[in-house]
Amino acid sequence: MNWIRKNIFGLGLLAPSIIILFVVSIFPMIYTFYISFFNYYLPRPNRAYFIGFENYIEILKDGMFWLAMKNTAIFMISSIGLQFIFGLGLAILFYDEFRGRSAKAFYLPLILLPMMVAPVVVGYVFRLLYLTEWGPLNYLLGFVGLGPYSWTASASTSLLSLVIADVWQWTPFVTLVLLTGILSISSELFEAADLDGANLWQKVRYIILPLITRVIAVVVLIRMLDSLRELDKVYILTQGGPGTSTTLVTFWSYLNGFKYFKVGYAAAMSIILLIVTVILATGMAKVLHKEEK
Amino acid sequence: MSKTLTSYIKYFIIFIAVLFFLFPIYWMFITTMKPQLEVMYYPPLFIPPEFTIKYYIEAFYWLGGEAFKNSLIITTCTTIIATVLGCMAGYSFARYKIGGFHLPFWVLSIRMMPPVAAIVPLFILMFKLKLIDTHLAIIVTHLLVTLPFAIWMMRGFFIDLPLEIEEAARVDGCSKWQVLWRIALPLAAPGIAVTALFCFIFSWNEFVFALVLSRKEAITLPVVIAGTRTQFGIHWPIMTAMSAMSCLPVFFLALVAQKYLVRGMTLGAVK
Repeated sequence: MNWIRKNIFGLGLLAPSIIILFVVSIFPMIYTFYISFFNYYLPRPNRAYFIGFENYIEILKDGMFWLAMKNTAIFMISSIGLQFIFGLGLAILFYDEFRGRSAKAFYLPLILLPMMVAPVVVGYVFRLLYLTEWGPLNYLLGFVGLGPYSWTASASTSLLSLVIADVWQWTPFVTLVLLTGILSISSELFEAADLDGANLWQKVRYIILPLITRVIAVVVLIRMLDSLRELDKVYILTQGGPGTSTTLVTFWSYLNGFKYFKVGYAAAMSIILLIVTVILATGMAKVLHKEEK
Repeated sequence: MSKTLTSYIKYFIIFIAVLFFLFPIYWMFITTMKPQLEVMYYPPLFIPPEFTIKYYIEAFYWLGGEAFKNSLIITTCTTIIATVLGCMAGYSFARYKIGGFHLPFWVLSIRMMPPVAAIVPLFILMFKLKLIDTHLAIIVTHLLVTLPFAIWMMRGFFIDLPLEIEEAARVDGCSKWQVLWRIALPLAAPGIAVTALFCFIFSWNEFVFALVLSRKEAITLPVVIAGTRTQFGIHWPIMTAMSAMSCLPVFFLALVAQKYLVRGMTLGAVK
């Protein structure tokens, strides 16, 4: 009671946000959890009936779910892997090249644009670039004797098309964050390394990488959490196809809910997705909390 | 000698990278100036055949203008609500330490949740309240994305402010409210601006909630862009013109907020 009286001002400031977040987030999630135990067909809400864990059992037995999980895993690992490799390479290059000058101001405006583009727009612009007969990508690849590929229209390249669009959009972000990390390293360390005649590789291996592990953890976790939410680009670029080649878990859950109207089933799938998210978010909390202490 | 060579190689790689990141955006802009038939032209035209804004005008009258207006209303309302409430809650978390680290982080984690986890119940809720296809429904769901972000960011900005000034003001007889209003908020002004800019960008680009909750009246720009796929295929010049309309405001804001871009995009984890 005393604590409440003492903090009444703080609690008053907090109250409206907590109420809104409860309505738009906590309540829906509890409800999602609740209907995940029902056989709930959206057009006939009155005929929903309790079926216990059956939705979860069905999902775990469903080959499509595991395929969607596999697609999500491949998508996550390859796109984040490429973003990290290119991002780190570019960050080091930029640092090395523009050291002393205001490195960020020089190139930042040029490459920050992709991450600001709406994912829907990214999807369509890449469809335009991927056009099999008239697209610039196949045209340019033609000069080096490759292709033509049918990109999003073929099951063997559709996931790759998605990865390329994602790499295009988020590599600048990874570059920027890693560069910020590198710039925060004391320049004395680099000067000392220069005096000892260290080459670039040694500086990367023994100075940069060990000192930016926290930044790397942050950027990889953020990208993982974002890829788990990825829906817009899939929706525009491939609609999960051809066949099931680009059906990610979020898209599969969305299809079940809003196309097949199997709401209980979709809800159970979101709960599974939520558990994965919570695990990753816990990792994020650890990294952030350590810094604040 | 070899030093200049490696530096040429470095510049070459940087040049290729910049080209790679800018080319799709360039391609989007030049496609807004090509007639539909010239999009399907071989070899592809790397320079637009003519400089024209006629597809922007067509896009504007074909739902684009309406959607732009809706997006602007929804995004502005979302941004104002999220920033105001974010300042209040962020200040409370920063100064009164309610819930320590974990309650604010739990608030932030709401932003990381996949939208599909909340979308069906929100749809049912809005349906029961007869709010489908209203600005209000989309504003409320966009708060789900922007409010946790705003609270977390403002908490960080307020923690960065020196505590001594506020304590001195308290000693001089300011009320708690006056300390917040007259001292903390003006000092945090750059942070507030940055938070508002990011809320604007997130809400402006949001797609899934707007797709599920709008039909015609409240349809936003990303949803209209997604809807350019008709049974006749995609009308490329109009689609890209609308895409450009969606990109330009955000590009401008991003350039303004450049300095704080990393902090905003990493949820304050990297400053």
